[in-house]
Amino acid sequence: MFKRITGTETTLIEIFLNDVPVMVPDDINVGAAILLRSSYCRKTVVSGSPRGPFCMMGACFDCFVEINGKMNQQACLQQVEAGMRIGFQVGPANLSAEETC
Amino acid sequence: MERYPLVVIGAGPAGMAAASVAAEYDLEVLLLDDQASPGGQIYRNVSRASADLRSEILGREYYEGLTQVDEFLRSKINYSPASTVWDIDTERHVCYLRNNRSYQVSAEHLILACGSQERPMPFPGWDLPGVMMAGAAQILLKSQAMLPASEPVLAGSGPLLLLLAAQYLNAGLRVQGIVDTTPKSRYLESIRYLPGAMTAPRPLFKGLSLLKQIRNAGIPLYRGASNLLASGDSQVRQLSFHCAGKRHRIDTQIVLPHQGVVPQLQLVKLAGCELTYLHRQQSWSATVDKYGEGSVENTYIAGDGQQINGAELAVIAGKMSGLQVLRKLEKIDLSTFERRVKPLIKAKNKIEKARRFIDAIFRPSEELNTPSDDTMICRCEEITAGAVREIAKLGCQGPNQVKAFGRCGMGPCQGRFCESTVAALIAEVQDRCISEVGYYRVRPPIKPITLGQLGNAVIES
Repeated sequence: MFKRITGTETTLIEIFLNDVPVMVPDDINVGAAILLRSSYCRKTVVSGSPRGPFCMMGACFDCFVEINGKMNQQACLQQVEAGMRIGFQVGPANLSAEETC
Repeated sequence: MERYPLVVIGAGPAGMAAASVAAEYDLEVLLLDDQASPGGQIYRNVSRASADLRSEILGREYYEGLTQVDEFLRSKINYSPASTVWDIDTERHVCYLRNNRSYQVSAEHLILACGSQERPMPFPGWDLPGVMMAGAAQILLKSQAMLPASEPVLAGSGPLLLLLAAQYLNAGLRVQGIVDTTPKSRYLESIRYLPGAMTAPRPLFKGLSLLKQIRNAGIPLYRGASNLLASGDSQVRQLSFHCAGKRHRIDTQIVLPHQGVVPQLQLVKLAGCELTYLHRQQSWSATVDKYGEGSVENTYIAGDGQQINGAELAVIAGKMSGLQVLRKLEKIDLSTFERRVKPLIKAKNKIEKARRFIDAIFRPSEELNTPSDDTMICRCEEITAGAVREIAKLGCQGPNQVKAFGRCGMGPCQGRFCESTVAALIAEVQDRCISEVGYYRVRPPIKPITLGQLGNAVIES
């Protein structure tokens, strides 16, 4: 849906988007990294309809994704890191064992 | 718990100004901000953006933010970026998340400079992927150097649409059109504020020059548009609307709506401060005295997080609150206070007067305020305007009762994107004034926090 301005100086890193390795600039946030590839990042809990990042400032919570196994993370508020695993959330989040103990 | 004489929340123009003025007199200041670098949304990423992006694309107003950011970064302030405040109580205890841990600090004085968010703009299809607030698209340009991959359509009202269209032109991207929902009656309504606007005319001239740039580029401007509809299956494919007596359809994969900004009041509410409904801005504002102090003693609200007046006034408001804190803590004497505050008050009055024109001309249209029954207004719980009208007909007194009856506002955004619409719909159905209808109560945590983060919270220093 979006692209980097041509000529922007960039170092690329590898992240995993739904288990697929992709190269993205190292200085962008997770929401932006998603928008380079896709206009949506989750399916809603209520009706299962697709949604994408909407406000890019942490207010709308529409960019909830799974980051490194932790669900309901606001993609627009976290920077990408090499090796990061980002998963689209389909339906309600699971509570991982790490969070409950 | 660690104690600070002053905690400032937000590193936008108001927060930076408040903290910088306090630091001038060696007051120990903690500034918490949820972004990675200072500047707020208006100057987001200004210290890191490339020189080309700053000067060639985003323009002078953005570039000027760099001076303030540099000054702020040079000041002796305990600046804590990437810190998300998730609770504040009426005793000014502040809870925030940083690096996966939660901390609690106590503030003798608290300045809330949380800025604004975009005013929700509900129309059928605004939940489809490919529809994104225009402000969000501008944030992507400022902070991520990113442009829409295909020609977008801009829709709504307000100066940001013109600014964004011009910035895209500077970057070599045309927008397919600007669908202007400003009702034609607003031009007449705003004329009487025009002389006031001329007392601080910079925004007016800026607007005219943007308009000229857009016209010269041959970008279609659909004035007085209404009945917007974004359609597509899993992604927007078309925006249609009424304009000049006929239905227009534009095929597009990106629609960027916008109708101004409103104060972010979550933390103001949690801090126990009273709000006042501001009819001319069609939004709630934080109730404050001359120096920005709210209804709770020693809690201040400055900048667009108090009421929308723009970045220039936010700096003034931030400084005034900072100076008042310094005076109360006897870091400055009364004569220094008065000497420094006097020119600020003068400048403030001038800008406020000029603001009336922008408020009047860009007051949102009735249609977008109280949308058609089939429009989804609560994006989180997927509740339509029709469902809210039905609940309001039952006699629900305000947004909190509507929430209990229909889940509207109960999702993760906690009503940030439906509150104004819900209140407007109740007011419409029950023929009441929106100021009586009220607003959502806010409950902590206002940002997601895990049990693990809560369990590992650092409370003792």
